[in-house]
Amino acid sequence: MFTLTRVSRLFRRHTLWPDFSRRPVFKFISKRSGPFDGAVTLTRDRVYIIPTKAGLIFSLLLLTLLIGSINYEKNLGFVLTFLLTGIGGVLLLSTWRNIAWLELKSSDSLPVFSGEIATFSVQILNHQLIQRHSIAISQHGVQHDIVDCAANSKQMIYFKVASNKRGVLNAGRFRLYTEFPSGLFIAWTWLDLSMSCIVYPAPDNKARLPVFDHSNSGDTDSSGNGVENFSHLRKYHQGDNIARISWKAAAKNDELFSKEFIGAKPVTHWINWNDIPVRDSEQRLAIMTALIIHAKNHQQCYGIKLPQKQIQPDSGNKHFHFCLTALALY
Amino acid sequence: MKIAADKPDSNILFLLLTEIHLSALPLYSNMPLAITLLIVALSLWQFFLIKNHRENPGKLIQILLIIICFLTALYSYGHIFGQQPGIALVTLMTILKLFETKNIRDCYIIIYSAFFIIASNFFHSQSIWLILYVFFIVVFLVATLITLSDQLKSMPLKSRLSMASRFVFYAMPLMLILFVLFPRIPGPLWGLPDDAFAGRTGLSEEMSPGSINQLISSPAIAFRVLFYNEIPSHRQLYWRGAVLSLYDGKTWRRDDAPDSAQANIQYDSDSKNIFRYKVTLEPTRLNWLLSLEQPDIDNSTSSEHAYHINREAMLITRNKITKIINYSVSSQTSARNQALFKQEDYKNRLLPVSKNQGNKNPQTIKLARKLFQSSDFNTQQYINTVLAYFQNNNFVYTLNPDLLGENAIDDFLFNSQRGFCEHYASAFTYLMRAAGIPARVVVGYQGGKMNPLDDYMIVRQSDAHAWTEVWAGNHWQRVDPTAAVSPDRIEQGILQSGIERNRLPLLLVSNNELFKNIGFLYDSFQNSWNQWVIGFNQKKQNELLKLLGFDDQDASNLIMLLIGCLIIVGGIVSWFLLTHKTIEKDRVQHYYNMFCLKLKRQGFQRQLNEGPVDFEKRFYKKHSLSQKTKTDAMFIFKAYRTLHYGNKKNSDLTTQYFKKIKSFKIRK
Repeated sequence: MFTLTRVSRLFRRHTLWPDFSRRPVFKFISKRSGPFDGAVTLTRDRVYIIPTKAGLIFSLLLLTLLIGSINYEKNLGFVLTFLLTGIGGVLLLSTWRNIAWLELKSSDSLPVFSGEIATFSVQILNHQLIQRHSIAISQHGVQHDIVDCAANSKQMIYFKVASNKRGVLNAGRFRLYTEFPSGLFIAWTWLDLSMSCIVYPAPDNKARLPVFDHSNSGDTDSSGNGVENFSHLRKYHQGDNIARISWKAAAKNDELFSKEFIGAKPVTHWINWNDIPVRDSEQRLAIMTALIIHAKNHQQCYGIKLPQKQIQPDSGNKHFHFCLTALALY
Repeated sequence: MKIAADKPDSNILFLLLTEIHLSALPLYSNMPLAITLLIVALSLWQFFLIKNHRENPGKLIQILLIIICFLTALYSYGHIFGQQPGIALVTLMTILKLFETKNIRDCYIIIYSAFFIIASNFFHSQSIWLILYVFFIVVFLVATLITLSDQLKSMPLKSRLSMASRFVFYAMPLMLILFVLFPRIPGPLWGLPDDAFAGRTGLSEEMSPGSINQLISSPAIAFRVLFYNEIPSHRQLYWRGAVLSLYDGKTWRRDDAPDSAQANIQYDSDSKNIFRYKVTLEPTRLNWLLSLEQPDIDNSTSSEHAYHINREAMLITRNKITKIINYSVSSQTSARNQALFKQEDYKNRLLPVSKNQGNKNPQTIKLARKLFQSSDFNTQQYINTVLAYFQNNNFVYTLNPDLLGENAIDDFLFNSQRGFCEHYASAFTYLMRAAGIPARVVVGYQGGKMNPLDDYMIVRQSDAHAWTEVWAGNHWQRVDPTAAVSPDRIEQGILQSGIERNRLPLLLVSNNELFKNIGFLYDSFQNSWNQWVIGFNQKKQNELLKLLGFDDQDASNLIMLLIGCLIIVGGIVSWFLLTHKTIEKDRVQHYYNMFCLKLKRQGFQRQLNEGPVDFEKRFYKKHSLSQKTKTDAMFIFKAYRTLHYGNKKNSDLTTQYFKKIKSFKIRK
């Protein structure tokens, strides 16, 4: 699957990619929460812990038991009270341990169309030989996901952010927390892993879409770039259209093969900013998005022309996302 | 912060129901039948609801149930305030809480209530068995906490339990430090309800036919004695408790008239017959202590528990004894108590009068006159005549006496002639008084057995006894009429007294040496438990600290010491807890992880997404390794794959695999 990092790498090369990771988002909160680039280990100073409501009531219970033991002079009452106090301490440490020393890595998030919900995934790496239980992620007080993480392994955890306009959507700060193993304490960390996601313009559904006709095909091409007839298999190269991978061949061998076609060379279409008969630029982008989706759905070869940018006609998934990203960041 | 709002599943509800019952189990024997039945009924209903995933009953029914609970408590106890009804109501309400458990928060409330129920067990018993049982339930309850917070339900019950027991184990050192060093405030903080210390067998302040008799079958320990110098012989072991002077024809009672007068005991300063001893008394709920005859406050060792000696030579304390206490006494058994006050003299001659026709027990009074006449009105001779009368008239010493009528003494002397010590003491005192000689009944214990293991003498409830004190020769003279009937009772104890053995405690009756030794061992253990755990108080705390070399013990120093110790021990515990690499259930995996750790130390780290095959391949590629290392690694990888992924168990391969990993070293 085509992913955001690849897009971003692409754009860095083209110097179109703004440096979001250095943007000071939550300056007023401790620098500990980030934003960080890439990976963060939850060291001692990044994990906070306080008693929950249940924990506070537990301490009231301890106090009552203590007063009762003093009043009735029952030494075994003291034993029980102090045992529970000790257990409280042990539970505090265990709750802390359940989340401490995890390494968190930002993962790629898929681009979405404006108005859709973006899913951000964080990779939890557990290097210790202890199993972690019930680790939850939340943002703005809403729990999004909860996972277990086996000893010496990794696990993905997701949280979702609604997008409302095209461009770059910052995931922002999230909270990773746990109440395991007692619910008496909550240990958490605030983190901003400077994750972001490209938000494409929402396609204009009312746009008038052209009808593609295959009959007026141009020259034939025997170099393997055609679309009509299967010619042969060749080794898979990075960037090849996934739709052209021969899964049958892949099943027989260890490697991937791409199918080559000969036949009619595809017709190229230009989706031009200046051709869109609307004044409002956002609406223009919406119509262009609709056109790109339409062209892709009909396996056409298309290129786009923006006022300052032009993308040469091509087809395939990679090209599709490349074009939409250009629109998103326009 | 946010507690999941969804309804807890039936597994959790079952767990909670079980735990409420486990917590209250030791209490059930002390609850009235109606309460127990209600608990059983509610639990069965609850069980049925959970099992069939039924909806909980509505609000109205719940309120009705609460009213039923309160009414049942009112019916069973007569009131609902106080400790016993309180415990019953907490248990009932906790079970009722299950009926309206909607979310996880309700589960926490039930768990906390269970802790309260556990604590209320200590009102009845503070034995070592109870605390061990409590530890077990606490593990269970902590496991429930784990269950509640394990929101993905990924842990099996077994690993939850093992995790909980690990937590309890780690909490032990912290508990120990807090127990020893936490500043002890002498209680009670406020007045205790009257029924705060219910349900113990022991002597009472009254004596009526059958009151001592019922103690005989109890093997419970009344008190323990540590003698500082010599140990008295069995016939000297008269443990005086209460002096009973008032008689109404049925019951002997204490004369509680306020009187600041003191006993007038003539001590002989050179006498060798002074016994100095420390008594560890089990709670009696009475305000007097037990001592050998002619007690004196021991000046050489300060007594842990304060008392004073009254005119009847009883040891009186300010408050009722509600916990195990220690006190020291010295007794000079050869001394004489010469205190007889005017008021007392009068009361000690008093005979009960029936409503219409003069004195009760006319036959006895006739007998007394006859015998006193035949002894030439000499008190000492009269005592001997009466004792001889008991010996010569086929009186039987028995645990199964006949019931006595309105004129109890007449009935006993002339009809049944079967009685236990209280009958003899009562009749003898009556005969003395009928002759105009001041006499009174003393209840206490007679005898005691040394535990060879820890040199403590054990006096049991079965040693309870009653005898008479007669004013003769200007001092109070002890006369034990039981000795006339059954001399062995006094010489060798209740066991040899020829009494029905089937009523006596098994521990005493058994002739098995092993059984007896185990009994002694258990008892000396129980004694240490009482001395150091149940009886641990401010004084013991100070003693212990002095022993450890902390002389300056004001509260702030103690708190500093407590905090210091907590930090040290807490540090050690958290070091274990935080660096603890959990022991993998799967030992094959555990060893593989060890192997990977070894490689990591050599700068060759397994990627988290790397399986054994890829890792192995990479391993061979990267290093210039010796042949030995390569073959070892190859063996380990292969064995791991076979053992971990294969489905056959191969113990030879496993042991070899463990060995190879233990000895594995990278050689270049």
